[in-house]
Parts: sequence; C-alpha cells; structure tokens
Amino acid sequence: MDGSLLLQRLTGEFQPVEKLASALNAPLSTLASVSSQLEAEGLVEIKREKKTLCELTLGGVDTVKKGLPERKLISSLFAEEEVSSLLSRIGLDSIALQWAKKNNWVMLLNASGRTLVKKIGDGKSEHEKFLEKIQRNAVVESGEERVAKELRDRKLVKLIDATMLFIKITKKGMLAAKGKEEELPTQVTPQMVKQGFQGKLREYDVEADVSPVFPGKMHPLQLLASEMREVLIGMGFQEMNGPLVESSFWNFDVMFMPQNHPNRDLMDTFFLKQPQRANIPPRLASVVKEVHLNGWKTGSKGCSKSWNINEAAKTILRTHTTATTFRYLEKIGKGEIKTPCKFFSINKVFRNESIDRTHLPEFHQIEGFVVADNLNLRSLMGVFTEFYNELGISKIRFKPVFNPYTEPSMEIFGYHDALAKWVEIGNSGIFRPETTLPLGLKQNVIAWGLALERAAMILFGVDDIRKVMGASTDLQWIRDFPELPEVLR
Amino acid sequence: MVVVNIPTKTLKEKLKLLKGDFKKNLEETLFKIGMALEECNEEETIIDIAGAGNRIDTVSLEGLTRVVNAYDGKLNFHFPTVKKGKNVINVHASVADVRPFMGNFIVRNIYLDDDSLTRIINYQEKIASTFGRNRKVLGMGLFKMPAIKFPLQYIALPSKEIKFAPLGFEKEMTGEEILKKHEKGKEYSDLFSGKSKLPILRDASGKILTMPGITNSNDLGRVEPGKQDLFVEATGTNLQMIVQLLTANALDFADMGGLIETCLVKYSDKTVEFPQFSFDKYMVSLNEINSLLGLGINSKQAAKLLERMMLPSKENGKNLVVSVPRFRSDVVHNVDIVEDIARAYGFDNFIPLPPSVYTFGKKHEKNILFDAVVNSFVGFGFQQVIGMILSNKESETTKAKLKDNGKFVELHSSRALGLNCCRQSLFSGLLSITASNKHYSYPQKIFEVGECLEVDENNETGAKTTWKTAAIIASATANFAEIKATVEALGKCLDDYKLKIEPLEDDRFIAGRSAKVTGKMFNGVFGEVDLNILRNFNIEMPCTALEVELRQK
Repeated sequence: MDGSLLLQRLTGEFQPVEKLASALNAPLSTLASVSSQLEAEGLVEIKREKKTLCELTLGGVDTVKKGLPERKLISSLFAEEEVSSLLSRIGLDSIALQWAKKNNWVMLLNASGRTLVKKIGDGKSEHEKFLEKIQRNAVVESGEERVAKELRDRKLVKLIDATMLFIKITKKGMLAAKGKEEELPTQVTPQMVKQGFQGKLREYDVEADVSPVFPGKMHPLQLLASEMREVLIGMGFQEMNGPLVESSFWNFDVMFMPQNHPNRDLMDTFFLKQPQRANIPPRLASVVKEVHLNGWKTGSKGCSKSWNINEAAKTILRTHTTATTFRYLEKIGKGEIKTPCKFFSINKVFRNESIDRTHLPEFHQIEGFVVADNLNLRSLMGVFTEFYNELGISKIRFKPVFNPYTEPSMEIFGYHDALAKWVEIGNSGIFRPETTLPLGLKQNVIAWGLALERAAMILFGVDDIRKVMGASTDLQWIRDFPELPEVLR
Repeated sequence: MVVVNIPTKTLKEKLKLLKGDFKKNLEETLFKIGMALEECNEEETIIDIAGAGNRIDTVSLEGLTRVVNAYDGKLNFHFPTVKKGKNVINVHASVADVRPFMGNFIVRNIYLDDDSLTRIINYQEKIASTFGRNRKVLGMGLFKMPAIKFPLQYIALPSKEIKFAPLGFEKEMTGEEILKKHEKGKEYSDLFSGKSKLPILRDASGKILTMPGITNSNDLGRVEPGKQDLFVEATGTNLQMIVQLLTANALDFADMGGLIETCLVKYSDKTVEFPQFSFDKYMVSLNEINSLLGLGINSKQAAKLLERMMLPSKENGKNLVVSVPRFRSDVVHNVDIVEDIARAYGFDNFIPLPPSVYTFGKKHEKNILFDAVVNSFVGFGFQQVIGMILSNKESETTKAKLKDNGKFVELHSSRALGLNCCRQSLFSGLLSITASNKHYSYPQKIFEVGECLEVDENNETGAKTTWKTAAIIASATANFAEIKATVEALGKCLDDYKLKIEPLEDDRFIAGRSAKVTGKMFNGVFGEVDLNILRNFNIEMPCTALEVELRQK
C-alpha cells in the first residue's frame, strides 16, 4: 500500500488503526507496517495504548445467535404466570429469571401463597447492547468494564489485553499530503455561489489554531467606574466636575486645613511652577482667614496663628475632589443650587508620591456628598449601607477616624470573603462647621470618598497597579479581562 | 500617620481590661477608639494612633494606656497634684526669629531603669520626627537636674560664640563646628540655614544645656538610669503644641512615679507656667449632641460617655460643661467633643438610617460625551487604556515632537522619577504604552479619552482642562486609509457627517501622510506616525494615530 493514501486519510487528531484499516480496505498488518515507516520519516505520530479487547467464546457465539436465556424467557412469558410452571414450561433455570428481573423486565408478586411473574418491559438489556457492540468495536471502553466482567462470568466472552495503535498526521506530514490536494479550490467565491459550484472544495483542519480576535474593550477601571456611577445615579446623585489645577485655597484653606498642615508640604502635594498663582474670591477669603485665626462665628477656636493669602493663592494639582465638592457647596450656599441635593464625582486626583506596586501619584477618587435638613451620623451610615449593598458588599463596619475637615469622621470597612478579612473601603464624615458656615450652609453636610484603584485592586485581585494604568499598562490584561460583570460570573 | 512602638510585655502589664486573647481584644478596642493595631508579637506592639485624632498624648505607653483603660471604664481621669515651682527660664528676644518658644518642667524623685530610659528617649525622637516634623516644629530634651544653676537663659548667639561639648564628645566645640562635624549637627543643620544665630539654653553659671533642635550637652544632657531629679525642655515654633506636649509628658512622668514641679518661662510680654495640669471648658448642648449623632441620649448618659474619653463634665440645664485637658491637641470646637461621645457610644451601636431624601440622579456632560467616545472606539475594535496626566516634558516634546507652546502646566517638584509636567496631548502616553507591549501580538489598536491641561491666563486657576481622545494602530499594515476611516466613523458616531479634512504639515507624522480634521464635535490631527518618533519610543511596528480635542459645551 502507498503511504500517501494513508496520509490523505489522516488528520491532526489520533485515529485508531482499525478504523483506518477498514476505511482503506487494507489488512491491519499492512497498515501497521506502512505507518511505522511513515513514523520513521516523521510524517505521522503513533500513540500506543494498552486496551482490553473482548471476544465472544464459542458458547457466546451460539448464545448471540439464539438470544440470551432471559430474552427467551421474556418473549415467551404471558402477562402473568406462576414461577415454577413458567420455568418448567420453557425449560430454563432461575438464572434467566434473575437477569430478567435485573433488566426490569419482570416483577414478582405474591398472591395467596403463589409467586407470580408479571411482565413489565422488554427493552434491550445492557448485556444485549454490549454483545452487539463488540461485534463492531472489540475495545472495552471506560464505563463498560462492569458489563464485560459480568458477561465473562457468564462465560459468553473472553477478555484479552492488547496494545492499540492510534495515528495522527504531523505538520511535516500535512505538507507532504497537501502536495496531492493543491488542485482543489480553497476560497468560496461569489462566482461559485451564483453558478452553483458542484465540485469538491479543499477540506480544512477545523481544529487548527487561528489568529486571535481582540475585541474592542473598555478598560476594566472604566467598567468599574461605570458600575459605581450607575449605582449612585440610581440613588439620586448628580455628577459634578471641577478643575484639576486648583488653588490651595479651594483644596485646603476652605477645608479648615491650617497653612502649616503637613499635607500642604511640597513632599505631599504637587505645587506648580507654572501657573503659579490662582485668583481667590476675596470676600470668602477674608472669612476663611478669620475662621483659621479665631473661628469667626463658627464657635471654633480656629486652627492657626497666621493666615496668608499668598499661600492660599498657590496653585497645585488637586489632592482630592473635595476641592470640587467645596466649589459646589459654595454655589449651594449662595442658593444657585437648590437643596436637598446629592452630588458625586469619579475623577482624578494627585499626590506627590513615588511609584510602586500599590501607589501611583495620580488616581481616581470617588466622592459624594448630601445636603439636606436633619442629616446626622446615622444618615451617613445609611447612605453607605445602601451604596455598598448595591455593589454587592453587604458586610460593612464603621470605624471612627480623624480627618481635618469632618467631624465626626469614619472609615468604612467591608468584609472581603476571599481575603477573609476587613478591608478599608472608604472614608467619610460630616463637614466641620468651620468649613460649611462660611459658605452660608447651616445644614449638616455628609460626605465620603474612596479610591477607585484601591477598590479595583481588591475586586480584580490585581497585585501591581502599574499594569492597570499609565505607561506600563499591560495590554493583554485588558484584552483578557472578562466583559461579564462579576454578579453573573 | 503616626505609629507608636511599645514592648508588648510592658503594655500587657499596664492594660487592665484585656483578659483572654490579648491581641484580639486589643485590636477590637483600638478599632472602636479609632486606632489600628499594626502588629502585636511577643516582643513588640505597633499601634497607628492617627485615626484617634493624632493626639500628642497618645504617643507614649502611659498615654496610650490611659486612653484604653478609660475607654474600658477602668480609669477615672484627673490630673495629679503638682508642686508649684519657682525656677525661672528667661527667654531672650533674640530667639524670636530663630526658634521662638520654650517650655520646661522638673520631675523629682523619679526612678528610671534601662528600659524606661530607652523608652523615654525613643518617645522624644518619635515626637520630634512626627509632630515635630523632624525637629522643625518641635523638639525636646532631658537633663540631670542637680548640676543646673537657675535661672536659665534661652538665647540665640552667633555660632562662633557658642562653645560646649555636645553629646558623645568630651571636647568642646563651637556651634559652627557642631553643625559641620557632629552627626546630629550635620543631619539637622537645615533647621537654621540662613540664620545668623543659633539658639542655646544656658544656666546661671554659663554652662550650656542644649542647642535645641541639634544636640544636648555631653555633661548635663547625659541622663543615666537610677533614682534622680530631671529637667525637661521642649522648644519649637508653636507655643500651643509645647503646652500640649509638656502637659502630656508631665502626666506620663507622674504615672511613672515622679513628682512634677512647675517652671516659669518668662517671655518679654508674658510668663508661662509649665506643665499646665488644667482644663479648657466647652459648653455643649444636648441638642448639638443628639442632632449631630441622630441619638436621643440624656445628659447623664452623655456625661458617662465623656468620662470614658477622659473628659470630665458637669450638667448645666440642657447643657454640659465639658472639661478638656490641655494635652488634647485635637479639640477646637464642640463637634470634636460630640465625636468623642460617638466613639464612646461605639460606632457599631448606631443604627444606620436608610436614605430618605428624594433627588434626581444625573450624569455629567463630560461623561455623557466620554462614554459616547468610548462606546464608539470599542465598536471599532479598539482597547481602552488609561494613561497618566502627569508626564515628562521631554517625552511630550523632544520624543513625541509636540511643539512646546509654552503652555505646559509644570510641576514644582516631584518624588516620582521623571514627572515634571502635565500632558497637553495623549500621544506620548499612548506611544509609551505601545512601547511597553511589544511582546504581545499585533495588530494593537488602543485608545484613550481623557483630560489634558494647558496654561490659560483667563482661567481662575491659571489653567484650563481640555478633553481629548486619541488612538494608535500598531500593525505591519497600518496605513493612512485605515486611520482616516476611523476618524470618519468617530465623526458619524458623534453625529457629524461633514468633517472637513485638509492636508497638514506636522512633524509628528510622515510628510504627505497626515491631515487636519475640523468638525462639529471635535478638531484634531491624524496620519501615519513619523518614523523617528517610533524610534524614539523604541517601537518596532508601523503606527498610525489620531488625536482630537472634544468640544466642551
């Protein structure tokens, strides 16, 4: 036999040599020798597997011809018959009856001292199916071992250990085979469709690798931000937006942060060489100055011995979106925005930090606030309970904390099931009267903030933030990130 | 963040409350107070005190113990008796613009063993490095009492006129030599850079105790273990902090068994006595408490809660008169006292109120537009990336060939290597990302939509935020037609069917293969990226790119 005939038949998947033999109409021995020759040339790969083969005994051949005793029994059974008279009538022993019972063909009934056999089915039994199958395929497949052993015990079959050969074509073999197939057309053309092409097209190896498609993808942070935005809008929050370049005034001074506060150090905040100075609302600035020095009319003692407008006018990259919050609070105080109101933003903020696995000098802050009558610490807790619940975090706990511009203040901790511990997921508080009264706000204002990247690191299990954002972004991570939201996974 | 390290064994002895699992109980109590247990092993316990008000009185073992024991109802706080002293420290006018404030007290009959002495020295270092901002704002020292002859003088002198043997040296050195040769002198010389004089504290016989902020004298400043009398000194730029520090510190020495004796510090305009074992009074109404916390507690309950925060109080009609000890650095308003009530009440015990205010939610216009752009590019098969606004001017201009129009927002200084400006364009960020992903398969199609900054004198903050979107296609077959088709598709997605496209000369693109686009929703540029730029970024694949500025309504 020509080796090329065999090559044409082969695929990239292993096929049993028997199947190939019957397809090629060649004796097994020929095929075995041809394939080992091809194997030596590197055109095919042969896998050898130990298998159990099953062969009918002489008695088995006879039985298959006549039918199994239980089949004989069921086919001659009337609807209902007494056991002993049945067995003697058809000349079988009770073993036939036991197999019939096992096959669910009959059931035994007790009626006034007599045992009756009742017919309830006659579908093909496991034994019958297996005996039929081994005439096509002698290999005992996994799952068939029990039936094979039962039939061996009935002395109907013999079990033989054998080595099976499986053959598949190699890349080299494919190239060799292709030479023979080149003349067949590959691409279906519009012409063929119109004219009704009847010839043979080249067959493809459907299991071969294809070049991957990289679908258009939103950035995972964008997915998370969108989810949070949706939750907040659903809770009645309006989105706000404000400048990235801020004055120290809006970023610190209005928040009752003294001008010598450590956060206002060059080492923590990005001060700017250009532009250097911002304009400051003069009327508000004079009130803020009083607040810092002596508390003004807020009932406070103030926070500093000195206050300099030049320090307040210094420009910075905002260190928190709370600067934007205070720009909105000023409008609310002036009556330009009506209360009650709720605002939020998910925007970038900057801290003068060096870059490492968990720190970037810029990140997204999620921030929100509510202005309404009669808000208190419990209302603040209520907002989070709902917000985090919507995000699927239902176990939360509050911890007192110190913030310069809120009092009381609290951190929010969520229980992380995978990490089995409480992790900080937000910081919040009620703005100090020193910050709200100068803006003309008499109500309590509740507010909170958290870092999107921090939430993302916890939720996505990311251990290096640099691959998420910035110049070292890992494109494959974005390509492989599942589109399906967590709740449906 | 201020973190305090304490030997675990000593802490265990001092904390009365924590039976059973010490670590677990301590962690839970600290959580309720607002502190955090960072570490607790056999040797050492590390506590982050920042969350409990960053109080200067909680930096010491004694102070922490007071707070925890009081919170647990095991301590009823009051100041111990103090002996009125007559010893005087005169503050000379010359220190006013060097290091203006000084405070002192005396501890008598105190026994210190090796451990407690080490602890005190560590404590002083901790105060100076945290609250003192590396001694700039605050620093303190400890001296052997018997050899000191009162009255003392705190004065600033030219550095050449100062002469004493600093800690660790037998030989006398001048102030100038100390700043140049002494280990601490070198480390902290910045404190007085630009000043013609250095501050010293000297006694009536002219012996120098210390050059505050730098080092103490090797003679009077070398305190040894044993039973003794000590003199405590604190200096700095903030008198109130010195009052708080010395009140807390004297209380610690009293807790350690010492008898506290006051000192009189005489300034030109006033005399201040230290330590101040006294209270500031605040009048807090029940209504203030209950409306801020959403509770309905009465004055008895409030007083009980205040006691657990070491704040004694008296009922006065519907008000409480609360006594706030002088070491509390965090109380300036009634709300600070109300928060202490909340801590004592226990944050776990508040029942959250579900939101009941009805308002409409709304997306900001910026994100309505950004989302439309994101959805468009995702539809075109691009992957979104998020770059940094912080950038490097050389990377923006020299490498990515953006013309320097003088409008870069520039950083004063940065701790992160290479960052010195804010991006005006998204290009250099996208090119950097393309360069870092060379090992992944192509084509790579990425885009970003985000904010850029440029100087704008007409703007209140001196800069304006622009909204931009940019994309890069890196592939062996990247070409002009493909990027032009992308620009046109983006136009249609943003409801603009009539983009004006004209030839453009721009160094960033290959000559004759770039265009300017003008439209209803955006203006910008696109084309095949200049090969030198690709080489500058170490990119080895042809790239096309687009960048447009989005219209802000």
